[in-house]
Amino acid sequence: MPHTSTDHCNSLLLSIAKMSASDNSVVTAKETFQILMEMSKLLNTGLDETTLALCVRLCDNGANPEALAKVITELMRVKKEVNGQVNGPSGT
Amino acid sequence: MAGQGKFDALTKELITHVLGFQEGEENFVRSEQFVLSNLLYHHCLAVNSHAVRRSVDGLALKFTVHGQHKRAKKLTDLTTRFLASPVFKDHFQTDVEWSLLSLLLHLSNSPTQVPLEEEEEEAGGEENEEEEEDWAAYLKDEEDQYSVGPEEPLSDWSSEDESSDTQGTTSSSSHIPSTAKGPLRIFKDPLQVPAAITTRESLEQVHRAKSWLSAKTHLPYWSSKSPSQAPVSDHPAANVTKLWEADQGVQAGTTQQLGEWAVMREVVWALTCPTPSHIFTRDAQGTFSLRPNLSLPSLTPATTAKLLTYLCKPLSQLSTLDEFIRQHQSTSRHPHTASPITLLAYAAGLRCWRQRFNAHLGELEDRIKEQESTCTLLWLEEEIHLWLRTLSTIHSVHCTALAVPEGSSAGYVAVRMLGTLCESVDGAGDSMVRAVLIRLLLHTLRHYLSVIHTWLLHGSLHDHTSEFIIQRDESVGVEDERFWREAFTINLQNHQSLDAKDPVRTMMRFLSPLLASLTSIGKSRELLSVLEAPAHSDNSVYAIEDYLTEEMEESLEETVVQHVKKAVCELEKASQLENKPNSNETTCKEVKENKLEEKNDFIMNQDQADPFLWAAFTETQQDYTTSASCKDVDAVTSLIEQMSDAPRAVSSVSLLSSALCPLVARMQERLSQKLTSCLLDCYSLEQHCQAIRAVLLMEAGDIMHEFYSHLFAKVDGNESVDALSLSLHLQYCVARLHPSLAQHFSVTIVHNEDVAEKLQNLLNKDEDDNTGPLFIEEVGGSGREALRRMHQKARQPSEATEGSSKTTFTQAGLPELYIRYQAPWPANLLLTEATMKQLNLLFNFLLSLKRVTNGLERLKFRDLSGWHLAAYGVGDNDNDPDDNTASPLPSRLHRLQLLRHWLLCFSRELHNHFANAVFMPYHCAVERLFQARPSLNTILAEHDKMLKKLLTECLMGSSEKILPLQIVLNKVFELTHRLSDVWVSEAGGVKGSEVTKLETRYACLHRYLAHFLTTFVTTRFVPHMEGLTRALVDTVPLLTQN
Repeated sequence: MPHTSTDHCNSLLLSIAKMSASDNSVVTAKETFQILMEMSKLLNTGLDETTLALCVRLCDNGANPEALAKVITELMRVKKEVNGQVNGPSGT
Repeated sequence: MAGQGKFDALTKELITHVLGFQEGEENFVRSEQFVLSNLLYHHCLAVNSHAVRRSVDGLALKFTVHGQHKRAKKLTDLTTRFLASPVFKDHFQTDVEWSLLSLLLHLSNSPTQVPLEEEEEEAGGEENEEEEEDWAAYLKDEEDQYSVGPEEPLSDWSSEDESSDTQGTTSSSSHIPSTAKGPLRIFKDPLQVPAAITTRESLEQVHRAKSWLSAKTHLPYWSSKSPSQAPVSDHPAANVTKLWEADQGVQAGTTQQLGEWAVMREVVWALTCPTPSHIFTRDAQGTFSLRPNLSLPSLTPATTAKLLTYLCKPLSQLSTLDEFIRQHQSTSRHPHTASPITLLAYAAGLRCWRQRFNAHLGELEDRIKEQESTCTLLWLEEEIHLWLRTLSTIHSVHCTALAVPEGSSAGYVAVRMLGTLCESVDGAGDSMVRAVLIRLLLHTLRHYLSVIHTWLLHGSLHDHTSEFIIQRDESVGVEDERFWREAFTINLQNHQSLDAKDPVRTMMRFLSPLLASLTSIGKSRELLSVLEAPAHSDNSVYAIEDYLTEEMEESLEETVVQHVKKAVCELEKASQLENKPNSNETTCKEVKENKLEEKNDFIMNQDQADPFLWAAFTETQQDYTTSASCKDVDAVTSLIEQMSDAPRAVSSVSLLSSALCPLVARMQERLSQKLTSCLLDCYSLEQHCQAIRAVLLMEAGDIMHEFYSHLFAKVDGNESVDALSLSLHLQYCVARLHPSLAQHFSVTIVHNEDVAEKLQNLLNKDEDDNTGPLFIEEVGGSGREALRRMHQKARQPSEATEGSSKTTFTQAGLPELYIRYQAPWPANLLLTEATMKQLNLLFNFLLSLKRVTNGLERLKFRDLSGWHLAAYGVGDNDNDPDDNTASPLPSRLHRLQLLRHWLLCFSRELHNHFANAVFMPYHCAVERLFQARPSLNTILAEHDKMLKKLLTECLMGSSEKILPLQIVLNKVFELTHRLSDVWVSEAGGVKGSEVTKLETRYACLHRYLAHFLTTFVTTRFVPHMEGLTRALVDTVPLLTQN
């Protein structure tokens, strides 16, 4: 059975919580992630919850945020191009 | 590559999620390589918490500067909460929270450009939700709680178990406020299906809606449901109405008491929108009056009425103006009931003033509503006093301007409107009122200026509503000789009998100096556009167009408005400098200073706040009111509305004239130069004039000598004279001087039988009265007298009579000729039919002068030599026994010779005088005129003037029928003819009495002319005639017979 977006994010958060010092802080982690998501929206990053969660995990694993930001930006650009190529001819 | 293992799984997930590529695809592999290489082999610095902090703070500041205060606050709050999260405590990765913040900041994409609504609404909704939730929980504490409505949608982060648990707890207190949330909230999650709405819930919703509505609805002050307006105080001064009712024995409550605050608000509303209200009523005529039995608690009803009655008239006036504005909304114009555009422009100006007034009323209402200062009806009256005075003036102007007679033309309506406004500006006493009227005038004048602008720039008069004062007569084509004089007409011909007080006269004072210039420019433009000037020359129409475009960089409306604005501002500055010492009349200045002080206070208050924010909003706040009101107006309207007060009296006519006249004069001068150059250089206007003068004024002496000699010979030889042969001969003569222009000349012989018959009758009656004193008779320019006399002595009278039946001869014994010149366009603008007529009068005059001289010159002394011999040989035996004054033949012959000499001297004196003192100056003046190359207007006017002067000087008569000199010449010709008869045929048999008779007639003629000229010189200023008069007076012959 495929995982939904929400499930995926929850599992990611749980993993964060596990990685954090206190194991019973799932709620806290959830709130923190919600705060992060709010900030993401506020800053108009264009990240959805899953992508953000993946980014969180990458950062947890020591990825440089600036490099990661470049990667994400490039991936989004490619995505837009691919979507454009797919939708373009049919749209016209 | 320790990190690579950690990143692998996450990278794959990321690529799959973001790009949708599946593992194993080529694109996936490439993407993975890209991501991993970037994450592992980058050159980015490690996270600096301080830098991230600064970035976040800077972003919050940016939100603030953009006025997104809530976002700024939210960002700060979220950052604080995020950083304070316990999740990051003792985290194995250092500074992970800063990494995450840094990541978001790097991915941030123009956050200030995101629309506010959704986010703010959500935020607002959340706030309300929180408030309602708290209050509901508070109020319903320890009460039985019931469950209504659908469940609160669960958090996305709740697990299924948690959500199922939550759904089960239907009695949870958190469900109660959920019913108050909007349907958007309820149906936000499509998976959440709302439960059926119960009756109780419906009732509760209805109740809540009613409560909300009643709380939000403002009841009228006079409504029974409204709170009591009775004063709280028991002091007698606060209860005057009540005491008055008790004193007057009026039943308590008859007079409705209204609070002063309420009345003030009603007054402001009524002025904003003058419609009937509880305080003011309006009758069928639209007149406002105060509703009876209303009173402030602290006043008697009569005093209240007195306090408020002054508003009734302004309300009626406002109502009239508003109705006019509404009817003349340009957008709602019906094509069949189209008003003059000038009126629409006036209505637009009125609308601008009305908006200003409403803005002022809005400010007053805000102050009244705030209740932070004491506001009374007296204060309100003082605040709107100036505005009401302006309103009164505007209404007066409005009524005067629109009081036009039925069926008045649009042009009259427009000019009257403008004239009334001009008069009102001149007569305005207050600076504010004057400024308003100037603004109105400029608004109203816009259509006229627009028409003038188009006319000047593009050369076409676009005035579809026919309200411009100048109209183009389409029946007069550009190639018509009437074009220059009649192509443009004044659009007020139906209103010639204007009253002395008619405002149109005022407007005409402004327009009159412009009309000539404007029509001249219009005509020049039209002519130049049709004249095919060589494209390479400077006269090219395109060159003119370019020049005019340069000259009129901005529209005429802007130019005039800028000029007036500048003039008014200069006056204001001068006035301020003068009034600096005494500051008792600086109302406007005080208001401005107060505003500045308020602004400074605001700045001081904002000092503690964000300086960048203040810097960003300083200008926008300053211009907010203006920009808001001028959002939908064009640049010229904005310019007009920005005009400040006019502290000093100004003359609208001089103000507008000084704005327009220089520009128009410059353009006229430039265009005139172009046109004159074109006409003189390309269309040889001067050559045409020279040819005309050469022929009709006989400047080409030798050529014309040949022509008139030929004519005289024909006439004297009793040959038939026909127009065709004369035309051919004239063309032949002229061709030697002006080969290309000769073809335009033709000769016409005038046949006027009626005049001839009249003269015949006169001759029959007064045949023998020629020896008597001469009188100036009213005779036509043509007649038969000379012809008859000539025929009496002619050798072949029958042939001459036959000739006379064909041709009408003048008294000088000549056919009346009319020389035509078919002047090609555009030379016919100058050489019109009227001009040719005048020149022909002069031509006939000169011809008769030549005729006399020529006749006398042909009498040779040698013709008498035979008679001399006979006289000395035969002896003097042929004396008439009846002749008392008998003398010998030699003596009689000698007298004939003397008479011939006298007559020749006389006629030559006349000829020389006219040649030297009249025609030569005219010739020089015309040459000078063309050399000066003035405008076509000047050429035409000066030429006409000179021609009229020439006519007066030559013919000395005010009309064509009474021409004294022509009559004298006719008489001289008659005398010459008689002398000629005697000289040629009967010199030997001439009686002494006959000679005496001839001498006497000459003496009378000479005396008559000397007397006439003496009188003429005495009564008029004609210095050029003095020489001739003196010469004639000095040589007056003595009468030999009485």
